Amino acid sequence: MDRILFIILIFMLTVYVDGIDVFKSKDSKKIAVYSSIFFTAATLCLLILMDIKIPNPMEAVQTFIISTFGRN
Amino acid sequence: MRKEIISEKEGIALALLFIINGSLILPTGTAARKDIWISVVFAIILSILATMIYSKILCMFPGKNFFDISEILFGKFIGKIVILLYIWFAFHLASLVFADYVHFISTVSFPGMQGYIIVLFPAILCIWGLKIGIEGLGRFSTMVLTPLIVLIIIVIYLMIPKMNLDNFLPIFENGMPPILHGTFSLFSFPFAETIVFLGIFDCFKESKSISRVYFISITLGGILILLFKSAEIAVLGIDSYTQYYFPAYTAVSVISIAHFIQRIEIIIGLVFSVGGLIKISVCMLTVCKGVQKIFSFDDYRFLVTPLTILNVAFAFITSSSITLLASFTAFAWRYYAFPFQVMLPLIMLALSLLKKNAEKRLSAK
Repeated sequence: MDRILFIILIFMLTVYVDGIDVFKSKDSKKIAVYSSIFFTAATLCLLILMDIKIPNPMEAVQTFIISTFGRN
Repeated sequence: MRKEIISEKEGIALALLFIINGSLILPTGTAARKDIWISVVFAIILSILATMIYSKILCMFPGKNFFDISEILFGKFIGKIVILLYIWFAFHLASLVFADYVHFISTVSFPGMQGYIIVLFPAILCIWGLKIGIEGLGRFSTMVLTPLIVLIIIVIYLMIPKMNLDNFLPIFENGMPPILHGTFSLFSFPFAETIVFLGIFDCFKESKSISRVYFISITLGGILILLFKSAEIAVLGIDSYTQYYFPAYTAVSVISIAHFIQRIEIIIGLVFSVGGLIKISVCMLTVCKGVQKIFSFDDYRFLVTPLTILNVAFAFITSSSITLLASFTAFAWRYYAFPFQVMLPLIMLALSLLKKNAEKRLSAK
């Protein structure tokens, strides 16, 4: 739980220090892109810290490559 | 916005640190076994050819970067798809370096340390560097490059008493195929990874500088990798070299001069940390500039923080264990990176030449 609080604190600090200028700019495209990337990142970080298994796309890529080209 | 300009020296320092970062630490080109030094030489030659293609593409469109050129060559829609693919490559590369950071520190320096604490510091430094821009990164690279190279040469020199040159014999033990596999592996990591510089190398005063920067950094970086890898194998032998996740660290840890100069493997950690920081920054700068181009923003700096956090999360998802990371780097990376490092530049070069020829014919009429 302390890890999750730590990360939430870091995210809040980041938005306060970094995101405030974006929101002040009132450019809706900038705000939309910034918010969507930020919320995706924050959600993924929280899921990782809560030990929730997220599918790894690179495992499939690796399996495909190794089965095609072998372990040379 | 003011266009950022860096000097040739700064460009060389950036590219050199980018090249020597992981390849000095991680076991690359192991397929070649004892003949890894031959593979390094072949990889340098191949990489010089590849970077000639990269610099030719940029030189044909002075003042433009990869993203501008993609839109010119492929049009708006397909151009954006190509940009997205290229962003993906740079993004994934940055996440692999973040993962290397986590696994290196949690394996050799601070065993058992939480990954998110380890990654916090390079991520903050990377965000800071990217906010300053490529000029700041270039100046930082120039400042740290000389001490790092001197340290690497000192380390190689101190390894000489522990070297056993029989570890290289017999040469060509398994013939050419393993050497070529090793060459391919070394070409894709680290030399041809310099393709990510196409996204940011619009920052020179003269476009001629690009080919010089590429040539000097590949040659110098290649020589350093050749010397260091040879020293590692001479000290450890190929069997031990392939068994360790970080053979450089182990090879340097055996140095003991009169029981006084010893435990200097921290130098390896230093080279890895500084080089890694530059590599992540360069990759993330490319990613940010790509996203800026896709959405036609006037500046990329506001994207730096969320994209870097996203990259850290991606690193934890895709490289959750050191075994997975090592096997991906050793077996899958070269095939995965080949379309980005060779096929895409070749297509772009062919299209550029066709476009220039068509323009020439039109102007002649």
